[in-house]
Amino acid sequence: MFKYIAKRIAYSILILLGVSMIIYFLIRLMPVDFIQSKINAINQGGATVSEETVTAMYEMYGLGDDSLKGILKGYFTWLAALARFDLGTSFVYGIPVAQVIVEHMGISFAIALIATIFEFMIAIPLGITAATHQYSFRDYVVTVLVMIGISLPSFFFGQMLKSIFSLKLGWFPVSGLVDATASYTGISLLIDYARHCFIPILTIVILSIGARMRMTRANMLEVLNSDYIRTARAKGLKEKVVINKHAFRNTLIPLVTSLAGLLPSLFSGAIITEQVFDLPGIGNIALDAMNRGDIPFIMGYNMFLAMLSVLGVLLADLMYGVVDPRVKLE
Amino acid sequence: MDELKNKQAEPEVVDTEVPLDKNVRLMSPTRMVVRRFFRSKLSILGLVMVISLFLFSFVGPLFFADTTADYSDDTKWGEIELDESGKTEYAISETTYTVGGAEYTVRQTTEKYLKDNFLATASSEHIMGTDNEGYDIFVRLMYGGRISLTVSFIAVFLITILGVILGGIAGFFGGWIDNLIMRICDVLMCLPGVPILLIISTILDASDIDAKYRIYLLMIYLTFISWTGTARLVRGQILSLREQEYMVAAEAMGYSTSRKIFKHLIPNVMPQLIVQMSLSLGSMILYEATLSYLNLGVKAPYAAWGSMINIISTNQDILQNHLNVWVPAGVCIVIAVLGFNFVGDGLRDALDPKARR
Amino acid sequence: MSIFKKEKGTRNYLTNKEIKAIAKSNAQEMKRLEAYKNRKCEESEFLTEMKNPENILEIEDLHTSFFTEQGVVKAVNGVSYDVPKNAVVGVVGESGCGKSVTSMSVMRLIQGPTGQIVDGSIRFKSHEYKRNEKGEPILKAGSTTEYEMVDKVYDIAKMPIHEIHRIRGKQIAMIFQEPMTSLNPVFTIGEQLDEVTFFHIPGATKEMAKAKSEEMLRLVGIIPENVYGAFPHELSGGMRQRVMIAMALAAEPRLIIADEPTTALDVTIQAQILDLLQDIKNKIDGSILLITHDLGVIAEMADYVVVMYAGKVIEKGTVYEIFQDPKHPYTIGLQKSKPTMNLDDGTELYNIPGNVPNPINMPGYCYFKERCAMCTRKCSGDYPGMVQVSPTHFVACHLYDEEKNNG
Repeated sequence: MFKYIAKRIAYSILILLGVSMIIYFLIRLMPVDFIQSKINAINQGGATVSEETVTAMYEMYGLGDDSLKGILKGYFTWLAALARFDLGTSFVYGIPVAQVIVEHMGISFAIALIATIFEFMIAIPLGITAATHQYSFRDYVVTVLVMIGISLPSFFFGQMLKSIFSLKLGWFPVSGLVDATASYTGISLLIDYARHCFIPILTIVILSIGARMRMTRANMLEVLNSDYIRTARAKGLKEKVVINKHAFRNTLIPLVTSLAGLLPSLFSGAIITEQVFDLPGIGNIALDAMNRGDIPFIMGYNMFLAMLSVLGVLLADLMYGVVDPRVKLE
Repeated sequence: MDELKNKQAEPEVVDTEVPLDKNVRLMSPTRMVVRRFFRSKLSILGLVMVISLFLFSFVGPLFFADTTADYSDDTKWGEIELDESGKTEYAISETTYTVGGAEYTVRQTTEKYLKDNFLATASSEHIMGTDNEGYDIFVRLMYGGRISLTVSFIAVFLITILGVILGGIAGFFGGWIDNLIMRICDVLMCLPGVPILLIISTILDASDIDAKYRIYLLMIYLTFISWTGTARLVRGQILSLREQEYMVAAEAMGYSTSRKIFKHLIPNVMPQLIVQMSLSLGSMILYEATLSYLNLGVKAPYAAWGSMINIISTNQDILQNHLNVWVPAGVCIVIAVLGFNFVGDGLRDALDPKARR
Repeated sequence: MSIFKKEKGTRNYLTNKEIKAIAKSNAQEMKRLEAYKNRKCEESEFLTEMKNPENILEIEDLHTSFFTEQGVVKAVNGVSYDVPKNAVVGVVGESGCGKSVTSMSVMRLIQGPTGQIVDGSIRFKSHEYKRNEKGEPILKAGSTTEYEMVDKVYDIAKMPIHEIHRIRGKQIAMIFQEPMTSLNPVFTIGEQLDEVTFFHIPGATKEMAKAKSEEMLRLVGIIPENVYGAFPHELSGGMRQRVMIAMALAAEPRLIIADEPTTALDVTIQAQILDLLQDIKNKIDGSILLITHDLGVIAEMADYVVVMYAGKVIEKGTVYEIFQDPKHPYTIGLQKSKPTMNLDDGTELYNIPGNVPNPINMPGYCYFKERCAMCTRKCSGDYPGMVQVSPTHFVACHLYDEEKNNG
């Protein structure tokens, strides 16, 4: 078991090395004078990028030296810094990138967590009824919902909801996380948060529910056609028990593992949704940083995301060993 | 129905020459697939959606848009032809003076003449009105469709070719080649999608590419990180087919390697590949639209569905009051993605040999 | 389109019009039968009487069909046979002859909506708890564990599907062909065994269920301590089949259906499982319906034999009659095609020529006609009826028509 985990972690590090190579060489593709012009633009925009930060960055990535030796040296310098979790200093914010990420991760995580809980709570029962009533009207409705969920562009759907519920009906605030004109504390602050986050969460739930429903339905159908379900029926168990106990436990296996795999990615932020509703989450920050040419932040953010997804794969695999008695982690 | 019953009770041919196990007339495989596909109303709906969008985008401009190079046709509008007929904007300003304790309000109307006829409402001249710049929305919708559909088709085509070649090599040769390709797949699958495209887009910004070709380059970059799914599919199929009896038989017959691939493996991978392609067409359209929405894809003055919606992220007045500017583009994206997904799903059901009904 | 043009010449493909007609009639039939299956009705509607009180199961003129796109597959096409009390009835036939579908119909395990029991009756004499109006079992006067019992005869084919749990598991248990996949992989053997007791014995406690399960495991030759807490994947195929048998026995059913219980197992394990079944046959107070394509198994186990071909019963009788005096050319062929050790005269092993007919669009004449070596002119006529050749021996073949007239 421990041997297996150690092996998997070593493998994950190998994958991260590959990812870091790709990200590094992408950055090296940018001409240096372009980077300089971006820095100038940031300076004009109000923020001041200190000379120190810039030289530190040049040093960190080994920019300016385009010989093979220079590139390799730059890569390894950067890698060494990465290993110390030193992601450099953000141009726009003037503080270490890791700090920016940690500061803005919370709000993204809170929104994503609530959305994921709702997603699972709605999608699993719907997926199961669709499977147990295959080809019925219910199944048809679920199929159409699934398709709409996976086909709607998040920016369009988010803007639609915003235009209807916030602008037309005025039920919810238009954007941001807190009401700037009032200073709430305690419970009323929480309520204010909730009012601001309601529509973004609704957007995320509706858009993600489709794929989860489809997964549940396909899984349940496969389980329902298996021999052990026939055995359970032959035992004389009522259909309810057959589905809610025998079939459900088996459908749960991939669902639970996928939940474990999702966990790390909850920190990564929903770029588009956060942009549409102007929430100060990590995704929106990253988009802003990108548009303004905050290279240390972009590099750091991408590595952060890669780490999360590697972690997700690892967690899902480990979870598989926990929930499925057939799987032995070796 | 009665007819059918009779037919089943007494077969028309009581022909002793035809053995009983052969006398049954079955459905031909092609017809079975076609029938299964068309049995689902959603597949038909999807097909209709996709076809009508194609007609709208590729044939539509021939009738409704100014296709001349210098926009000399005065009855129609072109993709980047501004309506310069002008428009008068009225602004009312109020100024309050306090003179000796009494308040006076002076209301002043200023009349401003602007060159471009922007945010025009729908009329016979502009079927869907004009956008905030003064471009004809209807015409740009058609051109946006051209870009979205073309770009997605190219991307899916390239992804499939790359995926089939790399997956095929991995599955067929196995060993260290397979290992290498699959590890590359693992790495690419851990790359964050949109953020990486953000970097690539910045690189494109840096290298001064023509706005017109920028999106194509972006999508080509996208193919380099998106072939993994197809490659895994092809490799998995090849690995499972290698275990099948008829492959062992083919080997025993002494068929050559290439013959084995083309004769047996490719036809078996094809159905799944077609499904994968039609489903990824939908996701590519979504990708392209998202990039254009973030102003990373197709850039002004050229039209794309995503970039036509982009304006509302900064302009709340349009978001609230000028639905004709952004809703049609969004609807087009939804129709396209939904259409390809419906078709893909229908194909999957139709081509699945295990389907029960 | 070219693909369609090509098809016009080939007679082996259905035309578009026919496909549409099939789909339409299938949809109507499936809807009707599905509604019948799910209907709510009074118990009296599916209560009936046995024709012969000595029987525990009487299948009469059973029709089970699968409504496919290619046409209606009449997998079971007018099958009738009886299972007497405390007897072993073997059903033999080639694969696809409908023997498994018949047994699945008895359990009502035919997968809808494509598969449906179309017609016929399956009468079963059930020995069950007497229940009061609330559906609770009535205790025997002066006892806390014994309940009043009552005999009822159900027509399983007419039962609504939600009533079927009265029969399944408790009255009729089934052992399946694939022990490897027939146990739920996420529950332990103990959990799956206990469930049967919990569900069928009123007032069962955890301890009772466990004791019963362990008793059953011992009965099938397993040491319960090793297996009770194990997951199915930790057991071998033979062990799993034993567990399946234990599970079938747990509720003390009156009829056990064993659907090719040994086919998926190694030869040595097969013998063990057969011995076990033989042993159990003597221990329990009930009947076994044994479905197999292995004549050896039948000869060893069965008291009565039913031979099926293409969805119909072609011959039935006692095991002695079928093996010593087979009447139907198909049965005779089957006997001849059995490999034996003392076939040392160099003769080749006999095989029945041709294939099993495709069950769509069956002709009006005998289905075996083309493969039959004893074909007469009469065989082109109607499908032969059942002829009684002895009090227990029946055959469906024109060769014996005259005997019927004479005797």
